[in-house]
Amino acid sequence: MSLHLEARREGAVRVLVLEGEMDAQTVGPFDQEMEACLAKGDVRIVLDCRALSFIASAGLGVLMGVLGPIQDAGGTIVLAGVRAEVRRTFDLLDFSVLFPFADDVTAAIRLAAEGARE
Amino acid sequence: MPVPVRAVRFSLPADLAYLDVARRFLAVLGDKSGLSEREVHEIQLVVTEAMTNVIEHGYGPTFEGGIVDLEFEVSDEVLVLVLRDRAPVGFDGAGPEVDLERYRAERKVGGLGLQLMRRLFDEVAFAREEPDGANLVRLVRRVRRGE
Repeated sequence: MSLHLEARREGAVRVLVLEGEMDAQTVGPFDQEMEACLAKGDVRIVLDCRALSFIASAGLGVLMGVLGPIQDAGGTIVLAGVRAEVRRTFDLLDFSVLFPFADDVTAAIRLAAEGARE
Repeated sequence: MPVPVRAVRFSLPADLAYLDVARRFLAVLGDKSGLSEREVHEIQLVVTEAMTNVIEHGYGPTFEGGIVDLEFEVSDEVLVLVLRDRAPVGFDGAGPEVDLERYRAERKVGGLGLQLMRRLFDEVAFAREEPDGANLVRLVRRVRRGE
């Protein structure tokens, strides 16, 4: 199982669609994409997690690594459609409090746009 | 009806490309044992973390041909997972709890796997077996069927 990543733009928001399983083997492209967003100042980010079926600490490490700089740059990372098992991993590390979660991608895009404006 | 799976041993290459193979295998074993989906996911998570530690820190990026042996044993009450390897570097399990604020400030990207293991299993023990010099990670917890 690999991790398939697709990026698109919705107005001022960068949407990354994640499909598959994120672990130390598959996290590389996601890491590069997040760092590239940060480098370009593209910091209003929605992660469409509806098809993400597994996340290990390697994925959470990447998220935690970019969260501070993205927030410092006035941005946000909103997680959309997160499955229960993936959410559980966030909960286990008390990371859920650090990220806004949205049930669907439309709401997440709105949250990301609003969050970045505040 | 669940088939009682008492103890199963299997070996995988110490290669990150086999993390998903371990998860598939554990899913089948968990299902056969009548474990809940949530419990299977938690087993997959801790084994992914433990295997990743062995591959990245035990064997390291230059070692070739390493093997990780896994044991899965479930009774009515207790679930035991054991990972055994012969990496040159073992791990003593020492490490502080992750401090979220510090983690965020330092952009630190390690130490989370051990935290997950500790939160999901009652016993997380690291040891070096003599005389053959194998490193061992043993994870034990009460079976939580239906929780």
